[in-house]
Amino acid sequence: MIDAITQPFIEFSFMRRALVGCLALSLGAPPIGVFLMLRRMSLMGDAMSHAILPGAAIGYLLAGLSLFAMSLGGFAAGLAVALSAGLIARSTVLREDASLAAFYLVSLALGVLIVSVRGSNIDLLHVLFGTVLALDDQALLLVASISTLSLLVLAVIYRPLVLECFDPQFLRSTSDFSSPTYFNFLVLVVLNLVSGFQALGTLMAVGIMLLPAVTARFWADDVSGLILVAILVAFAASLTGVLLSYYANVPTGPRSFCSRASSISSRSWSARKAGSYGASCRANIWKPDLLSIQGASCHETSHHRLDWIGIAHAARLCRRRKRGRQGQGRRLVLDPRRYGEASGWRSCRRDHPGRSQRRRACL
Amino acid sequence: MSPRPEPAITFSDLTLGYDRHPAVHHIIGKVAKGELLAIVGPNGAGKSTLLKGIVGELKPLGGSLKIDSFRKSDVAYLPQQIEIDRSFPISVFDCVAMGLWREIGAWRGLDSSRKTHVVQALATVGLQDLGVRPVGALSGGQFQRVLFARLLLQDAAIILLDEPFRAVDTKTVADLIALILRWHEEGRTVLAALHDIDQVRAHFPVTLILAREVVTWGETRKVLTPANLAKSRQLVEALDEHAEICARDGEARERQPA
Repeated sequence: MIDAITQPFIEFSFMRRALVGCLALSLGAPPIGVFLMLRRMSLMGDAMSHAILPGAAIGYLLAGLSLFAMSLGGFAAGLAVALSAGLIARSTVLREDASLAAFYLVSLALGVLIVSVRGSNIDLLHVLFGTVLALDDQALLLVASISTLSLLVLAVIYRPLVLECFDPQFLRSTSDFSSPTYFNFLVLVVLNLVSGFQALGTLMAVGIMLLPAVTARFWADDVSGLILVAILVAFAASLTGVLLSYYANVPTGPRSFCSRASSISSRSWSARKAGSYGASCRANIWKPDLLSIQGASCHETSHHRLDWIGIAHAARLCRRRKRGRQGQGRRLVLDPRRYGEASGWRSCRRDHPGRSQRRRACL
Repeated sequence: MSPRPEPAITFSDLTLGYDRHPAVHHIIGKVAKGELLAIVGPNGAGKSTLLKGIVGELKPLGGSLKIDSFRKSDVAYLPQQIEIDRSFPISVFDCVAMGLWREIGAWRGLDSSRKTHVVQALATVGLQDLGVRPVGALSGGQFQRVLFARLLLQDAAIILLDEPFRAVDTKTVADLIALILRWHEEGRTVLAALHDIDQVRAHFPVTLILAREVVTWGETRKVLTPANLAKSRQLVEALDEHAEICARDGEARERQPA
């Protein structure tokens, strides 16, 4: 049992990196998620993760596949959206959710535009949708420093932030901390999303923030307890997710993390029977198929998710349509040059779908 | 009005409003240090607006307001519509301890003497046994007591209470009024927006009747006459008609009436 857990990490350096990357993320992001949840801004993280896209894309256009440029671009775009939304919410009648929705949609539209203009590049997908097995030293360093920084900043603004979530009016009327705290917090959210999208992709970067936080709500009764439990849940989900992806040969990162985290939270739910909560996971709903990248060895690349943007770029992505038994089916082969257009269905079959070969034909 | 000591709050021709539409006009007057002032008036008279102006949530549209204090935390404010998230996972003790913000700020710790203060404050409002409970487990009246305990710890020179007794039973009201009187004895300036005229008569020496402008302001027993109250009601209704005199644009008529 212990062997099964440790063996992949002893044997492969990319597994070690993936683990370290996930653990570093699990240290920084869940506390942020706890505060997002407590401030009733859970979905704001999701919106912000979309807002990062155009920045990363512009960074890519300007500097190529440079981690620094793309992170900086993503950070700048996220920050611009978060700050302008926050500013509008604080100075006009518009509420936070509405102003954020407006800004992030503009940002996302811009991002999709840029990405599709410069489409069909698999490398860009690497960064936009995350590859935890391909984390290099630079990326690890970035993730680790962002986690460290966000824990430190969180320690400094902890009390005002709790107050800002619990009773903003009180904080406003007794001190001048309200706005600085709020904007500092927004910066932390964006930073952690940027660090998350290295490993998990822009969409699921929110997962490692919020799923542990939501799970922790069933287990802890005060804010510090919530943070602790959230970090532990994220650790556990990361470890099991990475291992699961290794043994089951499913994509690392988003999907496996997500499914682990949601299974943990649904278990906590049934254990605690508190409130009504259904953890659903975007990746699970979407059921992405798998793609291995040509020219790279199987372990090093892992697989890519088919996503609504991914469709535009991945040449050999296929969407499976099951027909009857698992031995045969059809796959939709997508046109790499045109956004979301399919070049046709091809049928696929496995000749002897016997008991020993329960694998689906169209994988 | 009798001659007074130094003013704690001075209004000079103060006009406050929302979206540039004035809600309270041309308030001139002084609140003396240590005064216990009741602000009375029908709905829509601008009582809450005035308190928001004092605490700084609304910027004056005209005139000015001077508060005799150096720091924001010298003014404690209990709003009418609290933005508090009651489902927040925080204990009653921690919630009350927030009142110590002026002393401990964002970073200093809660040492044992301060903890004793918190426990004493809880005991004063009769909730000594509920410190470990989460705030979500309290009833409305108990929560109002918690907010008063927090005000107690804020140790502010000026205390603003906006409808502090709504949805609270008579026993709690009596306890909270005793607390207000204690603040008065301690020399703090207390302003309370109230509805219950009998409460005001019984406990508050000075009353301001407000109807979008000052109707009368003075000793309660002289000021709080049926004639004045009727006048304030009429004024709130009538003022809508000539609100535009002070408005900076012509939309003042659209302001929601009382």
